[in-house]
Amino acid sequence: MRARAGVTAAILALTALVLSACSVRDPGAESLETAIPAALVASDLGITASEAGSRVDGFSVNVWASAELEADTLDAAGLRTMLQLVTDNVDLSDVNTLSITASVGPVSSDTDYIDLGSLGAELGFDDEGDTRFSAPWDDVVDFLGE
Amino acid sequence: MSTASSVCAPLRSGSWSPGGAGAFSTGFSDPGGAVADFVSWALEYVAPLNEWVDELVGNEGQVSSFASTWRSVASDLAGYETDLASSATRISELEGRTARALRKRHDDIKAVLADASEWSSATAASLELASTIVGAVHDAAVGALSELSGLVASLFGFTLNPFDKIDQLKQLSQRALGFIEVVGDLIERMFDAFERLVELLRSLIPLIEEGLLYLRVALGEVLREQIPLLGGAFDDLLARDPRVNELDPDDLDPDQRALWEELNSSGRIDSFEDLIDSNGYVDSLGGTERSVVDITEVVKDGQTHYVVALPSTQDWGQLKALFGSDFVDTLRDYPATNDLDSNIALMLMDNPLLATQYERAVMQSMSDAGVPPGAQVVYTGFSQGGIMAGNLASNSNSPYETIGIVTNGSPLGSFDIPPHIPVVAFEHAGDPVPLLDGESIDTQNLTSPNRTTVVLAPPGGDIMPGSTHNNANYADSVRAWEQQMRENGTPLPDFFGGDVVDRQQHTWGE
Repeated sequence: MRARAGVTAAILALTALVLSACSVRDPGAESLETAIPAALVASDLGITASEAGSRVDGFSVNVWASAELEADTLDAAGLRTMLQLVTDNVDLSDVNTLSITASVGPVSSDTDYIDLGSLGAELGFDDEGDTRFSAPWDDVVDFLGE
Repeated sequence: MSTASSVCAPLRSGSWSPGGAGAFSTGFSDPGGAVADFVSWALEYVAPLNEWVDELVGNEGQVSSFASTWRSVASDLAGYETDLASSATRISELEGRTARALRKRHDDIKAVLADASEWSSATAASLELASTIVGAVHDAAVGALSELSGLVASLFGFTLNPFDKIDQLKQLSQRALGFIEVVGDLIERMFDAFERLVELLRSLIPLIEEGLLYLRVALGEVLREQIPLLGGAFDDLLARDPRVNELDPDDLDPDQRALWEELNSSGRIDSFEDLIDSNGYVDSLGGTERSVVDITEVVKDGQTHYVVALPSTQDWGQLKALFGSDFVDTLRDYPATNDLDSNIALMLMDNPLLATQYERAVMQSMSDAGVPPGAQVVYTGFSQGGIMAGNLASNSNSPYETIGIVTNGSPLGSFDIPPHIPVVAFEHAGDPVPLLDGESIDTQNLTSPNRTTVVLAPPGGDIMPGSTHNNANYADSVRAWEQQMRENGTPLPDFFGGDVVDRQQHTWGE
């Protein structure tokens, strides 16, 4: 029991220490949950609805975004635009991964997903065989900076 | 004699019903016999009896089932007393003011548990007697009706003398009145006895409420004396069982929905990477909105086992601000129970009485998913999920047979995992969390041949905790490690793989 108490105290201290060094949000920025969907829907990519958010993975944060389109009209250039719009609207200083899904119409039991994995491969990202685009945040930022 | 004992003694002895069930037996023949043969118009002679039978049918079983429930409660409480005694033994080895205070608290709780066990078994005994009495009175009423039935049958039997009918009608009327008097008296006595029983049971209520209140306060004080840390953990331990449901994909956001479809499309578990991936899926499907556990039924060589993926910490409580949350958000307790409070409570827990909401919900999920008692189970988890895996594997009271655990980024040194259970623990070099048990060199490797710690290179050479303590990075590292092992021809343990025949995700929140 004493050993576990020590571990608990250590977890608390370590977590505070580790997290204090990352993921600081700019207090004046619009939240990514509203900024990313607004940017995607306002683009000329034919996106009719969008959601976005972030999730914890250990001591880091993953950002996700989704897009609904009326038809499967997205190409690799369109995905590149989406990546740019998403990264432009994330106000966290340290993100681990970015994932994006796109569908024709709303997501349901018979969703027709657009194959963003293949489009990502055309841009040079690893294709893991999923329709979902997922890549390390830093790789996305580096790609957009090239 | 304590207040509880003074109530329990008459309950158990049956003094509320002098003579016990035997006082309600009668000499009527053929209980449950020929009632159905009654001629309908003759029922006016015996209408009260007939109505009583209708009212009493079925009650014996109902009362008996209440008794069975109380027997079960008494049995559970007796088990808790044993657990508490075991815990007290461990505390007896400690010295100092805090240890003395703990011993006192344990003694107090033990006394309350003993009282509760006595109430429960006495209540069960009294309800069993009540059930027998209901049965006896029911049989008496049915027996009376059967005898009357015989009289009615003979009344309408063939005879050449019409005056015999008048005599027989008089006889029937007198017998019916006699039966009504006898059975009516039985029922009246039964209800008198039950009124006394109800009074006795009612007098237990304040004692039970007082006991429950004491237990809640005392358990909280035990924990506070052990570790003067955050209060939320105590609430977690003492909270009610969360309601568990199968995960409904319609409740998921679009990103989670896509992940849910990926997870449920897999037909095999072939590698450690598959398990690490499962850990990531349950974290993503849950987030802070809910807790999710993935339960997979796997068949290998005709043998069935289950793989249970457990979620890591998703709600960091007041530490959320450090992830970029607004201040107001840090004060919110999200539905996910795999949170900071649970993290603390889980590490403090050393007694089945104090299982966290998280653990109780995992057990409920496995039961709901159809995992039968005694089934072979592999637990896997990242970070707090791995801590839970270690906790479940070290629980000797578990209804399941743990055949292995796989963790990544988890400190396991403080859990007494039986040495026959294979443990594979992946640790990134530089991940500080697995080292938090104080075992920078995994000393259990030396004493447990089934325990394997695999130290992986930090992802991309980045030793920052945000990179090393990350499930997605663990999945990549484990995939590379497995590939290397295969290329080297090094055999890998496989106590978890096989064909997936069923996969369910269950969810709960606080």
